[in-house]
Amino acid sequence: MPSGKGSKLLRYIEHRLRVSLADGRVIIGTFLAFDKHLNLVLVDAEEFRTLKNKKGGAAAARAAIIEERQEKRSLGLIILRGENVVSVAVEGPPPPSAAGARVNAGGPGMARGAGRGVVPPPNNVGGPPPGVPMGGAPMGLGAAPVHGVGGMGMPPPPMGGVPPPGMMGRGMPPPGMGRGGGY
Amino acid sequence: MSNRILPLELIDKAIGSPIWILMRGQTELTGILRGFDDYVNLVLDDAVEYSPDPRDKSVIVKKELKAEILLNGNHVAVLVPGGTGPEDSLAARS
Repeated sequence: MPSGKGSKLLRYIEHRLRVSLADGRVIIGTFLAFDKHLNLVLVDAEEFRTLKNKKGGAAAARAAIIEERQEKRSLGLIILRGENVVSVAVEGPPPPSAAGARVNAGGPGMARGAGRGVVPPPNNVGGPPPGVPMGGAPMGLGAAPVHGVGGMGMPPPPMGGVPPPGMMGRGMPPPGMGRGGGY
Repeated sequence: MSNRILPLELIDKAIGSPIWILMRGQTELTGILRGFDDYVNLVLDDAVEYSPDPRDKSVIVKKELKAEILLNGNHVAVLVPGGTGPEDSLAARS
């Protein structure tokens, strides 16, 4: 976890950075991540190298220097070793097209239930709430949550005869239901 | 945390897939990444080296190193996960 100076770099995440390397190369890319070594992750990175053509005699040398050719390659997603980083400069703001999509794509995850409208109680994730039998009335399907059902961990007290509306016609009445007539 | 991906984690994800390495200077390598350590020493399979001809620096010589190699991390400058080498990016040159 970077700290101290690192937090100043954090400010430039998603910006376009121009990074000069020890061997004279310049890399421009959208800054995604870094670590304590100043290793950098850049996307849509492009490499620029200026090659001096020293071929020819002294006369040609003058022309060659003028003709100093810049070579550009697109590299895409890269990891830059911090050891080689000489300087980092902000080239521009986050590219507008990519920035929004990237913010949505990344991040610590946004898992949500598939929209039943009712959030299960936190302790019962992954199963029916205690006290409600398998196949019991799903919430929001006409059976309002009944007081005393779900969450107590024990079956509801036997009721005399009439099951609550919404339990009608379900194959499996919860234990305790309808027992009043039998005994 | 906006700093959710550490660079080395990204290299870790590239294990088993092709990687393109730009060394300090003009030398470049490609290969299948087998492993690495904290110094970014790399183990590569099917490595191919692209280095400038010592006599004519403008000529890049391709050499297939027909073995698993250990690449010292000292001179590694840039890693491109999924990259297949300089030949593919020739079209991108301008």
